[in-house]
Amino acid sequence: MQRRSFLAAAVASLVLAAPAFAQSGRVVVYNAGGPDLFKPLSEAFAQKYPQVKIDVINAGVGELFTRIRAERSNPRGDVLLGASGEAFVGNTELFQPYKAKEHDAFDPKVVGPDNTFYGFSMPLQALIVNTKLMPLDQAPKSWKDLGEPRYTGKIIMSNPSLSGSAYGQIAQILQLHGWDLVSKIIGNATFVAQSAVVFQNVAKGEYAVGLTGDSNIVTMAQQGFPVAAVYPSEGTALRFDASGIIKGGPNPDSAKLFLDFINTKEAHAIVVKSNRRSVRTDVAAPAGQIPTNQVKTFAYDDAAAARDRKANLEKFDDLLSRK
Amino acid sequence: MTGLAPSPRRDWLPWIVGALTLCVLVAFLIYPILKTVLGAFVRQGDEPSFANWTLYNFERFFVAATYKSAVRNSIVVSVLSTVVATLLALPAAYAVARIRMPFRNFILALSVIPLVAPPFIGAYSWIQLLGRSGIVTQYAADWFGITLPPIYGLFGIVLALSLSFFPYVFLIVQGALSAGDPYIEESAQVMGASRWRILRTVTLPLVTPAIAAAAMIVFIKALGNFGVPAILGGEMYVLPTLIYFQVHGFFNLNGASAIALVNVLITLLAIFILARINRRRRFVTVTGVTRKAAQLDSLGARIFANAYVWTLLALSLIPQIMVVWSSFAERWAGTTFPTEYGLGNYRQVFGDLFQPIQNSLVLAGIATVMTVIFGTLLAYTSVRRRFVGRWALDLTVMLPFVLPGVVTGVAFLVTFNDGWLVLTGTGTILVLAYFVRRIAYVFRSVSASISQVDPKMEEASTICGATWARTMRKVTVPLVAPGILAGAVIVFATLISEMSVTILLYSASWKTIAVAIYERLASNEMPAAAAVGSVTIALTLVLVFAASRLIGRSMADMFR
Repeated sequence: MQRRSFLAAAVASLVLAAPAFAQSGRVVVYNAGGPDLFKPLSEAFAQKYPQVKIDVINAGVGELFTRIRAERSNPRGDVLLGASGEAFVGNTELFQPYKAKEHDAFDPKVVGPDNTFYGFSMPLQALIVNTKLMPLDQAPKSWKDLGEPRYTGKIIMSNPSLSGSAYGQIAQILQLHGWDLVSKIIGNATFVAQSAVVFQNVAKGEYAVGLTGDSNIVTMAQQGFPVAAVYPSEGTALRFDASGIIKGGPNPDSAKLFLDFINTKEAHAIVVKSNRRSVRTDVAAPAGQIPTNQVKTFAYDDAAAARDRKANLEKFDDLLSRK
Repeated sequence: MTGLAPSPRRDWLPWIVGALTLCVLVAFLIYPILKTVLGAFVRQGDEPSFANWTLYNFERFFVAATYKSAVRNSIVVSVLSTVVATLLALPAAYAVARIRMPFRNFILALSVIPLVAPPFIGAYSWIQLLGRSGIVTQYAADWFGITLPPIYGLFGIVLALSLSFFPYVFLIVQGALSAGDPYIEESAQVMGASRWRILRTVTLPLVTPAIAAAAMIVFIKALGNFGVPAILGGEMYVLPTLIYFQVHGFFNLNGASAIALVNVLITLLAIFILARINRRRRFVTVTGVTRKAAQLDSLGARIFANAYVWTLLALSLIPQIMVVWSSFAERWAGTTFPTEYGLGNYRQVFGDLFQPIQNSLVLAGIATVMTVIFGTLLAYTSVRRRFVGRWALDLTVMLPFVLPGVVTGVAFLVTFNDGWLVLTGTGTILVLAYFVRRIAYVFRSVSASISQVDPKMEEASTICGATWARTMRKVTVPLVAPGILAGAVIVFATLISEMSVTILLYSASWKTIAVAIYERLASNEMPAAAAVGSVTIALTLVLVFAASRLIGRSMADMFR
């Protein structure tokens, strides 16, 4: 019996080892933007370019960058879709410069150096408040309020070492108020190791206040959870997610085709349907969101945020561990 | 392979099998894993070499408070979870193996379910029940005015981990108890020993190797778990949390390897302590009995056994029950109970499920067969052949099991992406990673069983002229079959929902069930994720139940 199953295993591993045959039209997308968004996008792409087969790997920003770096000697993916802007800014060497067809429709602020990436959606960071646990008039209204002693133990945030958006939050607070406020917030808030836990736990009523991207808040509210968004009164950064072509990827031509497609107005109209804001100024805000130009923003220096990431995280880690 | 006829010449098969096993170990285990682990001794981005070795990556364990507290948290969490899981499982294992109980196969299949817990969903369920706004918490407050302790922190982690890992102890120990020789206990009984005395001085010492092996697995699993502390731990970070920060936050594989090595060190300490307990108790008992251990039949024993086993199962299945329940909820937002029930979630996931299920079954199936073959051979070698460096073999097999999955995943990704063997993007890389991560289950489980079997049985077979292969097939394997089966079932069940290496190694044509669940969670479709999770649970239950009936019967045939 042993011999037989051994043979079976050997044959099976040979079959599995057969490399996927290279198809002429194929594109491998590393998607950090969530499968719910990818589905309609890929369907629209397939309608336009039926000859190109789309393969997608859905994972978090961290996992996808780990993949891209580990595969650097022999890249497997063609396009990275919807990863946080800070992550792109700090890793432009991994991406292939390519001037997109609709280059001019994009604000230069959301386009990478040498056109290594193009902005995609805009996850503006806001406070998610569980209105059942905390009426809106008692909720914090600014970044500064998060350091108030009356909110001790009521705030949940995600650890910036793991989550791109969580680092974006800390970087904003640092640029607006400095380390003084950050250390007060460290004393007040719980920093979890998973960013989705933040808005889910606020929605379920485990914590009253959290910090997350505003599309999550609208989605949870639409599902019926008692949550509302509060944009900090000092302003929130015009943060963006971006997409770029992975350098040395297996299908460079389809990669360009795909990138050009997701940069179109048509694709961004699909983005907006999922409650995400588009970076394109000619695409209106999602129905459930207030228009982007009515959200109070401030001049966020994402280049500085990316440059100082390591130093900032080390200091944050140090402060957190002394809590 | 003409091993069936007695051959006067030297039997080469063991050497060929040994060489093959060694090749597989070196290529897929030692090479990628050791390369990564050695990276702990150089700075980020450097290639390991004698010229640039440093202890820099370990510095933080002496400087940073986060690291010190993570080491402390990891030890406390894993020791407590292991102790609680073992104490919970032992009476149940004894009951199922030695007391006459109905639905025995069904109980065994049910007990596998906590191991298939889809990642993260289980921890969410405990929040739904015992969180600040949880169902139980609210009723305790409303009806009895009791404020339950918060689920976040040590209490929640140990509760979730021990209830989901106790099946390792339960399955392995009941396997050993069922395989044990009834004559010794009967002799003790004839000589007038009380039942309690037999349990204490005969039964328990005989299965100590199995208990130790199982406890070790629980310890390592608890030590390497990322998901439960990430969701229930709040700020209580453990070593795997720090590894995730280093890998996915900084791509600092060297720093991650250093943390992983501390994990290994803690495990070595635990192995050392367990080995000392074990050394004083070395017995061989299985002497080729052809009948099962006698089963207690008294009413008291049966009431106790049923009450205990079913209560434990009910408790440990709470997360899964919650998953199934929420999969039928059409609307469950901001209220204590769902406000609408229906099949919408199943309709939504129906079409997307066949491919992942098929993939998971194929990948997990092949990997299980591989772990069974090589794990059994290695266990046999390790226990039966006394040779220098036996500890090194033990350690090698255990290493990828002790390392958190993310480390193994990255090691495979880096190693097999280019060079002499390119595997990224294939199903093979998943099978190999699964094999390497799970071979320790079969190895441990079978080692424990083989150390119970009297080598005289095998010697007798050899003396009578049987080749090594024939002896293995007709004597050794049938005698340790319950141990092999326990290991195989665990491997298969845990691979169905394997997450930590899958998420780094899967490709578009090899999406597994775990990926399907992850995708729903990533899109905030919790009820849809629950539907996929429920299908997984049901499928595993059916498969394991069928397997334990089928194989259980054919194993009985092998004895004849």
